[in-house]
Formats: sequence, structure tokens, C-alpha cells
Amino acid sequence: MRTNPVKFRGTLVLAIVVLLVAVFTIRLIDIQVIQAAALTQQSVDKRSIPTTVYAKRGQITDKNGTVLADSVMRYNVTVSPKNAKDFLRQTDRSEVTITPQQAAIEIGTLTGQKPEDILKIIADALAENPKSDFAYIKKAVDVDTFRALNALEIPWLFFEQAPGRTYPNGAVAGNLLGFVGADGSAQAGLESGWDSCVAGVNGEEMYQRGADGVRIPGSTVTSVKSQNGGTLKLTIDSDLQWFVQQSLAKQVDKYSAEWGIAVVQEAKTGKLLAVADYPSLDPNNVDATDQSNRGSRAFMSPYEPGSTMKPITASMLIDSGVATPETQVWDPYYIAFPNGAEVTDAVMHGTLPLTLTGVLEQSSNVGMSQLGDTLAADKRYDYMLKFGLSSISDSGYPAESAGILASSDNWDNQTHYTVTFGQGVATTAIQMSSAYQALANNGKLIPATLVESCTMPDGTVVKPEASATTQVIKPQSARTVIDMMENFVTQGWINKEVTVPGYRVAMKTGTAQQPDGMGGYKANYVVSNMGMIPAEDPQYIITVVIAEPKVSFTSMVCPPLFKAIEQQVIKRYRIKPSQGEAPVLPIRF
Amino acid sequence: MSTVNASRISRPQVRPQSGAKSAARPTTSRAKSTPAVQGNLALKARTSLNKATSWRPSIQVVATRAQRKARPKVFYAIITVAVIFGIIISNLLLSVVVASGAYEIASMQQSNKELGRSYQTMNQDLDRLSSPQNLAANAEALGMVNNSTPVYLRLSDGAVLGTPEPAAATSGLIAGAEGAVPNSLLTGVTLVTQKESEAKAAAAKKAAAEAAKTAPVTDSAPAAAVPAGPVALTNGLPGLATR
Repeated sequence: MRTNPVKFRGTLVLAIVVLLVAVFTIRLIDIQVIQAAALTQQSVDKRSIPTTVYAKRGQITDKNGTVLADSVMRYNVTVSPKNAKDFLRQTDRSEVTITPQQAAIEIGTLTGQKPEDILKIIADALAENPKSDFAYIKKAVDVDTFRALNALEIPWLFFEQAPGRTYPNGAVAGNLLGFVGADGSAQAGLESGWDSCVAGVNGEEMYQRGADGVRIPGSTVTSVKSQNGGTLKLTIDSDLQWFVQQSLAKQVDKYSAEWGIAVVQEAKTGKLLAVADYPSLDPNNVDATDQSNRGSRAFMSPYEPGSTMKPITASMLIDSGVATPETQVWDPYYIAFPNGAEVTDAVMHGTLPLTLTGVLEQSSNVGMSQLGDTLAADKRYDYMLKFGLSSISDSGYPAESAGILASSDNWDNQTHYTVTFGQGVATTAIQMSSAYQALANNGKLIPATLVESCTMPDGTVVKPEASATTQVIKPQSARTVIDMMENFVTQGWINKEVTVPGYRVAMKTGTAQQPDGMGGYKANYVVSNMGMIPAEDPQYIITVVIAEPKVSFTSMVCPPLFKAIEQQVIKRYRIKPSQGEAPVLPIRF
Repeated sequence: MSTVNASRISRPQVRPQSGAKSAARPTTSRAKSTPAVQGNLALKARTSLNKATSWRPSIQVVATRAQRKARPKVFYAIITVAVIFGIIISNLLLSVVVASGAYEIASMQQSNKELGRSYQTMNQDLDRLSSPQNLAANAEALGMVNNSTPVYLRLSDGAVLGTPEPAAATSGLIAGAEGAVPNSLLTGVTLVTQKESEAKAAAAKKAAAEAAKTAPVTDSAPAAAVPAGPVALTNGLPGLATR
């Protein structure tokens, strides 16, 4: 049977058509349904540009709003090594061919690099990978440099944003502020301790752009909303801070000392107005400062305070009622206690008939050991705890030390006596300042603060949580001790060194040996002055600590600095001249 | 719809169409000169024809009210089409406007960015110049020193509180301790006492020395087109002749 060729052809054509339609349908379903999501994604990816919306890290300001740390945008200069070839530059009259060598010279004059170095970066990248498309020429250039480089219109030169941090006042409060790393993360100091306040959250968004690079309206999709950081307001007064730092630096350098600390604290609030450390850190240029000097010793490094502890011990004795300013004691140069402990005074002298005030005035270790012993060790230890000598402040400064104070059960025979005059115990300058703050504030200790508030970007002001205040001693006990400290000035050799005419000051000096880490003490001293002005109603606590001055009469190292700070505080905060005369307490009997 | 509507009967003899049979029933009497309207389908005489052929009125099918109602309204069709075209055109115009707006947005965002950068640099300049290091150094360069003896004049009785004492020439804080509280941002910032021309001359000298160092590499370059020296910045922008 022969098939009808015409009919056969018709069937064949029909079959092919059906087949083709089937293939197309399948393909259509494949593209439109099965692969639809993936293909859409691909196309979106091709057109979309993911970008990071950089959040601004918050400012750190002083108490008056002076900016101490701010965020800036910097730019990383990058190169596409494989494309670093000759290019044509349009000038007014003609086109000029610019070789990579010439371009490198132009770049180098702006970035401060040698042209050879720039060419080397390109050559190195190409040597490693001939198709290299990315290499850094210089990181974190400023806006001016970026603009100048951009205007060169070098087609193989690219830029990327790099948020940076700037500290307009340089080393003023630099040791407190700390610094951030190249990646913008907090590395040290308050930047790190209060990162939760100032850190922002970078956002992410995706937009599509047309062939000419212009953003297509309405195509922006924000996946993560950027959130700026808050403004951290410190209690620091930057002008005073600078003065104190500069004066401290001058004094430390003058005596070739190892380091120095100076602190000014408000007596009635516990706020720290100035915390100076030397050597200082310029957070703009961290590498210039030795690793060991980058932090704030005032917070981080406990030292044995020595005689500045004596007013604290005296306040315990008076507050617990075992002594008065007139309590008498025979004070030889050397004493051996029944438990085997031996204590001597700093300078040779005959046996003196001293009152407790006289013990302070003479800064007698022997006298203070004898009188201190009249109060049980555990009582003294409790008082020391209440004075905050084993606790950290409210500053939020990271890695703050709580000092070294063993419990009274663990005091050996020698320590039983030496803690009364500040040996065998180590405190930070901030702890000592706080203990004096308690004396100056009617016996009530307010933990030291460094941060006033954190203002979030939406305007809400968050005050840091304050620890409880402690009534360490009775107000009248505090007043008595201040009077005794004032007599230390008025009846002692230091009067002409630290007294500002017209003003009353209460203070105490300290010259302390420091452990050498091998069970003994070093030959050099840490000298300190601690005091408060005006003595009739103390408003400001001043602490000065200088370590290992290279001079024979170390007592003279601190007073000039103490006085300079005193004068500056008087001027800066408009303290009126004192009314009334200093009380005269008997120092001998 | 029916053929009645479509067919306009103009022939003299009335011959009812098949589809309209039931409806069209010519009952007009020829004797009457004026056409009568009867039933639901009326045959209207054409007056013009009547004039010519007075006895043969031209007739046509007149739609019933229902049919007229059912008839598609051209007016609405026109409206619909016009609206559609209107939408399309306005959509087109809108997207043209939006697209051109996109360029405007892009250029404004760009200028916003540029202004932000200018703001940043100027703010940074201001902040670093108002740093205590700079102010103190300038004050001391001008011969000012710190007098640390505070004295008050009480306005009520003119009393002088405190002991006035002249400051020593050496009581400046900076002298002898320069750089103790460094600020690396102040690098290159001149003091007010330094003459600007001197500072510029020094800078130019330095730049010339640097340019001389790099000169051998530029030998082959056309001197006019390629600035080998530092690019002078005017308002933060390079004053390059090349574009």
C-alpha cells in the first residue's frame, strides 16, 4: 500500500511543528518557571551595585563640647596593575601620552611617595599575578589629596572610601581617648571602653544603575539600615587638660623622670576634670608612642602611694574615736615592734614628742605606725575598702586596675604597720584622688567619673549608671583631717612652695619606694603631692605623681607642678580668695 | 444585532426583510401621503424623496428604544481609547521626567558629596587650628606668657583681692617643652609670627628639591603638559591645566 505523498508530507510538517512547539514550550517553562528565580537574580546582580553605607562613628567631646575625637572619610588609593599602561590625556591644545612613569611621579608628589615605590607596587602585583587587577598604592589619604589625585584622571587609578578617625587636639587627653585601628574598630582607651556609645552600624544597600552609571530611581533596596554612633561627652575640660599635661611634661622632662600623672577632680561630684599622663599619646600618630606609654597610667598602673596615705589612716583613727589631732606619741627615728616588724623614718632625727597632727606634719612613719596600730587591722582594712582602695571607678576606662590590697588576714607583721603610711599597698592615682575626694566631700565618696553622658543620634541622652556613694567617715572627722592637712602646709617647709597668696590649701606629700619585683624595693622613688583647694570648703582635688626623678632631693619635684595646677584651677574656675585663717593645731607637746 | 438596523430601506417598494418579518409589517396605506406610525416598527417617510416622488416615501428601520440602548456607544469607545492613550503618554512623559530627574538627583548627590568633603576639610582645619597646642604656641610666639597669679578686682568697693605679681618672661608653658603634648595634625601649620612669604619660600624650596630628585624620570616628558612638581591646591582642588 502506497501512502499518499501529499498526505504524508502534511503529517510530517505537522509533526515537526508540534515537536518544535513542544520544545519551545518546554524551554519556555524551563526559563519562565523553573529557572526564573535564578535568572532574575542573575540579571539583578548584573545591574545592581551593592554599596556599604558608612555609619558615622560618634564624636567624643569634652565637657564644653570641644571635639576631641571625630570621624572623617578618608580614601584608599588603589590601582589596577594590569591596566597600568600609557594613556592619552587631553590638554588644551593637544593630546599627550602619559606613561605609567609620569603618572607615578604625579601620584607620588601628591601622596608623598617615591615614584619608584609606586611603580614597584605595580610591578610586584604583576609579578605575582600577571592579571592582577587590584593593589593598594596608599591607604587613608585625606580629601585634598584624594581630590588632587582624582583630578589627574588616570584611568587605572581607583579609590575606595575608608572611614577614619581624627583627634583635632592631638595628644590632649590622648591617653584617655585611646585610638581605633585601621579598620575603624576601637583598640584602646575610652574609644574601646565606650564603644557601645560611639560605634555606628554600617548599612548595606543595593541599587541598579543604567548603562551610563546613573542610579535608576526607585531601585534602591536597603538591606541593613546604617546607624550613626552617639556622642560621648566627657567630664574632661580640654583646656585644663592641656595645661596640666603640658606642665606635667615640662616637670617630668626637667627631672628626667620615667613617667608622670596629674589628676584634677571635682570634690563635690567626683567628676574628673583632667587626667594627664606623660609620656603622652597622640592618637593621630599612635606609632610615635611606645607601646607601654599608650594607655593611661592614672587608671592602669598601681603604685605604692607612701605618705599620701597618712591622712587616710589619720581619718580612720579619728573617725573610730581612737585618736584626736592632739593624740600624743613619742617618735624615735627607728622602732622595732614586738611582732618583729621594724620601721624607720625617712630622715635621721632624735625622738620627738609629736601629736597626730605633728606626725602628719613631720610625715613620720614611726609615729603613724604606732598610732595606726591602736586600731585593729581588720577595722583599718574595712576603712580602706570603703575609701575605694580595692575598687575601680565609674569611668568605664578599660583595663582599669583595682590596685593591690591584701585583706588584713594576709598582712604580714611588717605590712601590718606599713599600710598605715602607704607601703605594702598599691593604688592607682584615680583611687587616691577618690579617697581624698571623700575627705573633701564631708566624708562621702562619689566614685570618679570620666563620662558625662552619651547622646544617641536621635537626641536621647543616656547618663551612665552611677555606683552608690559611700559615707566613709563622719563629716566632722573629714573636716578635722582637712584641718590637719592644712597645718601640714602652714606649719611646714612646703608652705612657700605650694601656697597661692590669698588661698588656703590642704595637702600631703608622699615619697614612696616601689617594689623591684624581686621582693625588695628599688632605689628610686615615686613622689606625689595630693591636696585640695580651697581648704575651708574644698572644691577641687589635685593629684600629682612623678616616678623616679633623677634628682637627690625628690621632695622638690612635685610642688612646683602642684602649685601651677592649683593656680590654673583657681583662674579657670574663678575661685574667690579664701576667707578666714587656717586653724592652728599643736604639732608637739 | 438584526439586519433591520443595518439595512436602510431606500427602495421605493417596501419589501420587508426576512429577518425583520415578524417585526416589520408594512401597513402603510398608499393612499395616505404621510406615513403613519404603527406598531412597534414604524416606517418613516422621507420627506426629501417625497418631494421628488411624492407617492413613494423612503423608509428605514427605526431602532426600538431597547435596541438603541443596546447599541455600542461610540462616545464611550472614544473616551476609553483616549484615556488609554492618555495613560500611555503620561506614563511615558512621567518616566522621561523621572529619568531626567535621576540625572538631576545624581548630579545633586555628587555635589552634595563634594560639599560634604569641603565641609569636612574646612572643619578639620578649624578644629586643628583651634587646638590648645596651636593657640598656645602662637600666643607664646607673639610674646605672651602665662601669669599664674590670679588677682580680682571687687567692683562693689574697688578692692583688689590677691597679690598682683608680674609674670616671668620664662613662665610660658611651650618654651622648653615643645612637642611634649604633640598634635601631628599641626604638621606644616605655620605660626602667626612666621611670615607667610618665608613659609612659602621654604615650602617652594623644599618642593623644588623634591622635584629635582625626580627630574631624571621626567626627562622624556613634555614639560608643559606634565607638571612634575607638586600640584598647587586651590580651595582643595588641584590647579592642573591638564584635563
